[in-house]
Amino acid sequence: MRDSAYSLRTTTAAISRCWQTFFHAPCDARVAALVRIGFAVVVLADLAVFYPDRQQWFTDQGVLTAETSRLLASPYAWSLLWWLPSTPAVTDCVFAVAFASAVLLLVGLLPRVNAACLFVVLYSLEMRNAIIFDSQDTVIRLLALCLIWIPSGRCWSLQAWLVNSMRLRPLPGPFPEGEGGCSVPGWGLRLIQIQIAMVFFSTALVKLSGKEWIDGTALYYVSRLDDFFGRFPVPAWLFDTPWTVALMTWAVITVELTVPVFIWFRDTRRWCLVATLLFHLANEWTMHLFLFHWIMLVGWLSFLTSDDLVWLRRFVGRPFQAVLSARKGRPTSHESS
Amino acid sequence: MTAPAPTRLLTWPKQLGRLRLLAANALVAAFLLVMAIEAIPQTPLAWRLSVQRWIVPLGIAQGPWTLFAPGPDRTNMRLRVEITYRDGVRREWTLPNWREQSALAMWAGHRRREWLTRLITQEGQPAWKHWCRRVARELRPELTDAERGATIRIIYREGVIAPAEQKPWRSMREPPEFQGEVVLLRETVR
Repeated sequence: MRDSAYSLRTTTAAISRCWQTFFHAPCDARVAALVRIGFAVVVLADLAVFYPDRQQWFTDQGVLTAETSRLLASPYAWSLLWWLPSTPAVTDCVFAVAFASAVLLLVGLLPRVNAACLFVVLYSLEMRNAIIFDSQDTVIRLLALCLIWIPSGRCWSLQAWLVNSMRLRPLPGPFPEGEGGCSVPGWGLRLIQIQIAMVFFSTALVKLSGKEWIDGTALYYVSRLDDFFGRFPVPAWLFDTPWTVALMTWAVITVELTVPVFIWFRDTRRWCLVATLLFHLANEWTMHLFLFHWIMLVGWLSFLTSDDLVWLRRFVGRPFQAVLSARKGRPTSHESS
Repeated sequence: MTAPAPTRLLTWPKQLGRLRLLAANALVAAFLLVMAIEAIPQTPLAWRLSVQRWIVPLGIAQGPWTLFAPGPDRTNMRLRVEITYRDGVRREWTLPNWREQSALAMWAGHRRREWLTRLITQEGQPAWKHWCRRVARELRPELTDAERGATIRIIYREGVIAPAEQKPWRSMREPPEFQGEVVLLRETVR
């Protein structure tokens, strides 16, 4: 019988190899670009909703003075809006910077710099009035942080277009070109993936300690909270019948527990993505949660692969192609073949 | 004569590449560690508190994700502010009835809703006075320093959702029932 099955050296080397493969394998630059664009759209919507009330939320003339806001935030927090004068002009400038950064991120010009700018501004706003910020803002802030590390402007961006049109070669990076075009270092996207999966897993673990989620009555209470529930019409019997409520409650727990595990496997990844899409859209239909589900969906986009993009293009592109061809009176490539 | 030993020195671009890789790995490891400490609810509270000093200023704090967990809220609430101005005029502000708001109004007014629903919690208490004074000014924009000399009362009403064990359930379509009032704040502004 051997003394032990594994040697420390080979085990460490194997772990190191796994780490390198998992975090540092290049990924499709289009996925990074999709996350960047989705993120920017969500942030622009968020800022647009903030904009009319910006003086009310973030100046001393509004509902909360800077001094009081320090009491509500963590003692270790900081905010640009605490250091600068609490005047409408300063708030206007901060919003102008935020809007400019979000638009530049959307079009893909200096995306990493703009992600950093947005991160600082969003963090400052959050600390200046912690009462009006919630979980979705935490997800937005963490995604902004991850985007700082992702060169998301290598495709579908103004930056890439400028580089191509001026016939400049991009700076050589340590990663080779991918099959479908350029690729980017994968670890930033991996961080987003782990973060988003962790949101689900963490909430599922907390829910398992709650009586209502175990006995299947949680959605009975949720459906009677009038500030959250009832966004669009749903059949009342669904939430008035104990067994349907129990089934839906347990379905929520099941999705939140299983998706963060099975999304990492090739065979189940697409099913998990479909399940999360349905889960978020169903929640979005029934509940007033502002941008939470949309920013989560942006996060889940990071799990897409080159194959998914090809499949999506074929799946989504075919009806468009058919419509365009019908307008021109030509058969589609599918029909002609 | 023996051949010279191959040099082990790396060229500077390679050194830079290794350094970048090392920095990236350190960053990833630190992020994952913080995430594990913060987001896994079973982590000891002492650990979670001990990392706050570092992660809050870095903007990576997240806490456990308590989305309707461990259990959803069991109460609906209503809020009213009664103001008696120095000239004797009385005005009242009430929280909108959420059920009567359109989906668009609820979406666009998300921050206002967030403010009002969290204001009444213990956490929002330091903001009460300043907010009341602003409400007083908004209700009488024509009156200079409207809040001066005004007596303000914040009144809270709670509608507890009946326990699920009590069957048959009230339909989700039925409006919530509210119980008695609690005066959260009574203040005369000087």
